[in-house]
Amino acid sequence: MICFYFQVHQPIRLKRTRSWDRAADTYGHFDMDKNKEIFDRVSDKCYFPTTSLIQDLMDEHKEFKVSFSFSGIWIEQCKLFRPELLDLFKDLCKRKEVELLGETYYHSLSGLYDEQDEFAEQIELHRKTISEVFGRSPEVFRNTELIYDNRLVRTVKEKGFKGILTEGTERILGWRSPNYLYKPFHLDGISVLLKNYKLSDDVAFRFSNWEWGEYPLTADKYVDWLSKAPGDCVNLFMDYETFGEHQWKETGIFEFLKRLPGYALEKNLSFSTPSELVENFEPVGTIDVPLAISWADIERDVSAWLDNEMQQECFNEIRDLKRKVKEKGDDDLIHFWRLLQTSDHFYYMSTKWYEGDQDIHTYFNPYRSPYMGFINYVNALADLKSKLN
Amino acid sequence: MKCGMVGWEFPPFRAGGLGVHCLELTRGLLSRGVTIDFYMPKTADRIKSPGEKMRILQVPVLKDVGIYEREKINLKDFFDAVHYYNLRTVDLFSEESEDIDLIHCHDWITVKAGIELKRRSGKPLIFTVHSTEYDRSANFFPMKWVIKIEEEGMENADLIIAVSHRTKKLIHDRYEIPDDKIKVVENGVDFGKFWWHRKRNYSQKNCKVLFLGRVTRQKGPDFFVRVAKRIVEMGTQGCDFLVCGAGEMIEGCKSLAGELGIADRIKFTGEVSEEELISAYYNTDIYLLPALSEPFGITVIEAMATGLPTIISKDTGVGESLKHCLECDYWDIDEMADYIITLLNHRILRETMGRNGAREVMRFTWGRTCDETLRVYQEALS
Repeated sequence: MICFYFQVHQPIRLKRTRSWDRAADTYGHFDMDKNKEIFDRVSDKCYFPTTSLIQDLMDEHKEFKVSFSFSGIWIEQCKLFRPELLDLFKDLCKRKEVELLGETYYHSLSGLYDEQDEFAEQIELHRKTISEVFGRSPEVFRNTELIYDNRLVRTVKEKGFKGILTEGTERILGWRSPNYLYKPFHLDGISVLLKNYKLSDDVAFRFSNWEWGEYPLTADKYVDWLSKAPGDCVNLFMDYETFGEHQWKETGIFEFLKRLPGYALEKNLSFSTPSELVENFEPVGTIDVPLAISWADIERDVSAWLDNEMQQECFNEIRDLKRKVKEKGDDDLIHFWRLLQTSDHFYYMSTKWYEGDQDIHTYFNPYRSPYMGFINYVNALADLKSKLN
Repeated sequence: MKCGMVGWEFPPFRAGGLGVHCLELTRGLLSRGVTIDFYMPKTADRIKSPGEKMRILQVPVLKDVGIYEREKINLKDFFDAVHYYNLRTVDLFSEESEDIDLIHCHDWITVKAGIELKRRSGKPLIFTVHSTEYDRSANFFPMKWVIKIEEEGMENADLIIAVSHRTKKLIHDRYEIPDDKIKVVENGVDFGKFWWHRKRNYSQKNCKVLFLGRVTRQKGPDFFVRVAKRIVEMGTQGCDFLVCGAGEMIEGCKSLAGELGIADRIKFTGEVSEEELISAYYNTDIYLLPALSEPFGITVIEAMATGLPTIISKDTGVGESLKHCLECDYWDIDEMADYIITLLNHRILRETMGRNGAREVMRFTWGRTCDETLRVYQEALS
């Protein structure tokens, strides 16, 4: 069984904000020109061509299945910048071969807060949005950047999900294979699906790397690997932008995707959505995750967002504003507060990329330095605080 | 290997960074087995040669001209002294240093002699460019005849040492010298002079912003004053300013501060001793250098070594090798003011930048400078 899941997300990036700048409206601190420019670029290079291709592939192969998770702020931007793209997705997502997953509306780190009520509210907001836009209700959850720990999975279970996705790292698996379902530590009624990071990253990161021993990666070679993988399922989780944006059209990524379902079906492999996996397979073991994991960087933990003190201070400050924001009860301010919870803002403050993992961190970073990321963030935060007082 | 080096300053006789560079460089080269004849102007008190391997040869300059007192000497006397020094160096060098393997000159003030000595001896000429006339004038009426000397030096040199990639690019673009002839060797810092200082305390509420260096157009002290004005204007409390150093713009900057109504918030030290200089780093909390044109910027490394969060202009050469500092355009008063206000309000930012910066600059040792300079010598001789 092959299970495809694509993350569809774009942050709403801040604009250069000085300590004395005060925003007049919700998007006042956000660089909507830049956000539109990036959204347009990715739409043209990835979203439109890949989605059309998947449409065609599904027409051709009835057995082909995929799953998506759209962050709420991605949908918000899509409505603003490219409504016709949302129509294309709506069309695709009518098919039962396409599954939509739940997450937090704001692609936030709220799952890591001690009090889980904000996390639950953001899940609810996302569920509402998915139901309004696509008329569907997600049954399986994937948290921001596959962040997972023993505590947040309880909240996810309480919100009625029957499955959750996370990273299949050795830290939690030990000798065990990611190609099976697992159950969380001391919790029943929800299954954990683990990313096969080796086979996922072969496509997401290594596809066009000519220094890689397996370059060039062809669809038949890849399908051969998939067919040899032991276990119940191979979970291929990746950014949707892998197609056409991280891996450019010129690398042959679209030809790869185009041929993949056909070859796989010829080899008697089949496709499954996450909820079908949960229905059809029993967990084979338990995973215990006291310290949060994710799919980011080589550490596969939350250090991309919370490693240094600047990140930790911002994380604590934004979390602790909850009571004040709720007391004020202004919808615009609540939205602004939550937009500042998006994980990407914290990622931009990472100082880890001075030591290693440099390419990936600079690629996604709109700032020259993590200090600029911090300065901009705390200045926007200062405006929020002044509006709350 | 024996090197004939033509210098201008040598501690304690100095006006800027060139003397420190020559001291550290010759010291390092000696320990790497190079023998040196070092030429410099004759001073009131003779400097003793450190040993057999290094001779200091002092060349008489025109009498009664205090060449190291840049504020007092008039320009014509200074230029005459440079001219005379170069002529006399050639004479003495030809007598004393016949057995050298190569000639090494520093900046336009010594390169005329180098060119002539190369012509006479046929030995390779190395020319270190610490700064160009374009830097010193901050592109504000550069003296054509000085540029001409620099150009001549660069053309005649076998290899040119630039103190940063920024300077290398300037030499390539403005003097049209091919890239492969220019080698980048960065300056160093003697971290030993900071060893006895306490650890920096980042937790105090009030902050002092430091400008340290010659108060000259090139370093942008007037922009520093304007940034101070902007910060005061925003109603920021608990933020004061210190201008540490002397220079021709100091009176102008003082009256500018007066005109802008911030004279009570900004202090000018004027000329200070080495110890006072080091104390200034430790008694302040943020370092700002809005330089219009800075080939390298040793003070930036020093400031960061003491744990100061540091803001520099994009026209500061050393910035190209640094990640743990903030950069912006020297004219962007709002941007600099905002960096400072945000630093003032966030201890975490000061501390993270300060600690990471101090760690980052540790690689700027004079040992590295000497190793790389020696490599340039070897290339010139091969």
